[in-house]
Amino acid sequence: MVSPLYKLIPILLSIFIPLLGLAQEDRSSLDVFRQSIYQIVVNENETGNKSALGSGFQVSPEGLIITNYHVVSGYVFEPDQRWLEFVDSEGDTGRLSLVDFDVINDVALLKAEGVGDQHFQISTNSYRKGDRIFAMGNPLDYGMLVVDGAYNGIAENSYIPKILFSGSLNSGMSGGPAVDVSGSIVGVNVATAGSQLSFLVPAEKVIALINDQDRPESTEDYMNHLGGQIQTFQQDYYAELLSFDWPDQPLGENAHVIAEIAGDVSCWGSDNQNRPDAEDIRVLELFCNNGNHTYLQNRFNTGQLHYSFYYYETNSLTPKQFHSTVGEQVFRPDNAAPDRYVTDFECQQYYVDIGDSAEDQGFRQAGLCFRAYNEFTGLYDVLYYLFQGQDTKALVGHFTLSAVTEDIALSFAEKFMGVAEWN
Amino acid sequence: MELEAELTGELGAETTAESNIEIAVEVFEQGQHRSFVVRCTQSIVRIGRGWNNDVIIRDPLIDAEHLELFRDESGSICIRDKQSLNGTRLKGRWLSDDSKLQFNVPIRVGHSSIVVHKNSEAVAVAEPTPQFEPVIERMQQPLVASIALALTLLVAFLSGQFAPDISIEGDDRIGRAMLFGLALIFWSALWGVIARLLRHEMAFWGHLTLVSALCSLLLITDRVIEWASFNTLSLTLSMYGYTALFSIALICWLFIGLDMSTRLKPLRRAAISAGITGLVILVTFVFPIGGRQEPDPSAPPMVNITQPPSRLVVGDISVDEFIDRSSTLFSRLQEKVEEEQSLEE
Repeated sequence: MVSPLYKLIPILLSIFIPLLGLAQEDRSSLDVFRQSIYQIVVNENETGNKSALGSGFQVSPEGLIITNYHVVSGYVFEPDQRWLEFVDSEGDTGRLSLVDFDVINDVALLKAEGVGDQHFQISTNSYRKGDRIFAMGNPLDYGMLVVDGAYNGIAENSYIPKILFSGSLNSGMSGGPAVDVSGSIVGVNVATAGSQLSFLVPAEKVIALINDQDRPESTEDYMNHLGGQIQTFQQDYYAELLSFDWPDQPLGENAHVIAEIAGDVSCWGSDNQNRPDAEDIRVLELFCNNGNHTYLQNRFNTGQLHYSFYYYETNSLTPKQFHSTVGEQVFRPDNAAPDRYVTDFECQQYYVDIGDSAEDQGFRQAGLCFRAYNEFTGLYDVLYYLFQGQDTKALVGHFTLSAVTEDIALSFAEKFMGVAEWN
Repeated sequence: MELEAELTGELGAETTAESNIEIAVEVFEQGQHRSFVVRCTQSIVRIGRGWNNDVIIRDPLIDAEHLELFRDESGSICIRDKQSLNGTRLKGRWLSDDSKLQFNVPIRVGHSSIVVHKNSEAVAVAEPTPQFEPVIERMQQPLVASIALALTLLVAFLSGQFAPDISIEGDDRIGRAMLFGLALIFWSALWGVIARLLRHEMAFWGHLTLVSALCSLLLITDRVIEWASFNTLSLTLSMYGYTALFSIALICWLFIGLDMSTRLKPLRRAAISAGITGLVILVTFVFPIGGRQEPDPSAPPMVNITQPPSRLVVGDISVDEFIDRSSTLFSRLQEKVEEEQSLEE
């Protein structure tokens, strides 16, 4: 009688033999393309030291190299004070020039002089969830590393398409290639959410950048190029957003507020009911934001949309105590921007009549603030709040938009004011 | 009409009939003529502006206790100036020492004259003595002042003035109430001293009653306004809090105080009152002592809900108007950007 264990041998072999074959293939891919992967270094003119590190890979025999925009963002903003350099697999270095960039999808196209013609092919294949891919790069300046992981499709609820990669990307691997088993580019390493959850820029964005005809003409043109890309993206994004019917939802006893207005916007709620501060004021919160965080430079990002509602109610405070407490709430813009890139806020505050029965519903105070981007003509950050109060109840609505045009800002404000209201 | 001022004192029971003074007094008070009989069971007749005098003359140039008539050892009635600010003249001479009273001769004090007659029948026409305001007399009583203070603290406590911010806990509220009470006492004491220096009859307890009553009135007014609607006055009081109360109290006080304590004519009183109040407002709001606190330019930009709005003062605007008005902000921002760019160049 044959042991049941022996019956398993053919099955086990059928699993392991193909895996062994794959491993052979991986190594050959690596050997072939090792020379096409570079470390990208942004150097400071003044100190002669590096200010940023990343990875990049060659995509043409002429020496075109792809990396992330965020790797070279320091150079984009201060091209006179920095210069770009590559380090190849042998440790040799050379100068790089910036050809083009796509700030929204976070990719940049560089050109290296005096490199070989070996390069990656960009895949146009479609993949299924679970397909094996390998991310390569130079994490933390320790040398080339290959991370084994799987393709998990395009991230849902993200307006800017990103491939979900179940593998660990680390700092310094940004801009490195993610390839399939045949060595073709599936995407570009871009970000990680930790715990084996990482993101890749899809290969079609790389192809689009290589084929882009609207390239910056000189270093002086970088800011215009950047502003133009943000503006185009925001116009498309908000045109779609404003065309939707925004759903509403109840909050507290009296208020109706705006729920998730688009697929990439997610909302969370909170309630202080079981906390000690609820004795004085009961607070219900709803806060929503989108996932668009466009990195421009260190401590300078944009593209966020955030809105929130706070419903307050008291049984124990006098109206004066209630309103002075609720009125302590402070709103700040969501996006960080160094002073030199934005103006101060200009604000207006008015008592606004919304709806027919406003007289019976206490008061409504609305504030709208804007600040302009010094470098990106026609783009503004917006800060808005609407305070609707009665003696013992209040609703505060608030939104911030970053890097939008005047038209978008006003259309959004108008629509927002039309939806949120007392019941 | 004859009015008799019956006065009793501690010495009254011990004094003899001979030592009593019974005189007829004619007062020519700033053009008005009054005459009456004073029967004093003491050996002293006090004359002055204060309510506790036997002869009250409401002439601003007369001190609260200006002069007195008394019987000397020989039994003659003498006159003594109590080191008054504006003195007493008898037959054109300033009175410095005790002098023997001369009947039927005018004694000149301030703008007024007093003629003392030996015989009460000499007084032909009698006018009533102006009653010194009984309210002020009652206000001077410590018990009344204490009750007023306690009531004011209670009003302040109930109206939430000690805790406009809910983060102020119970113990702090008591602390704030005590501070508030001490401030009132200090304020009253200050005015008591000023009144004393000006020889004014209103002393510490009277001021304490008055300042407490005034504060209560302000607190209740504030509460009524708040109850009626959210409006600018309520906002001003809550924003400036005790500073506003202090300023309003100061305005009232200066006027009342100057009115009762000085020898100034009404117009000058009003001018000085307005001047001092203006000065206080200047150093409090316009050019604050220690300099105005400028916002920190490096602080992150923010907006907050700054004020409860006023339906009484500010009209609502429509959403369309709100959106339209905001377009002016963009032109201002554009100017800022251009300014920044020209600076860079």
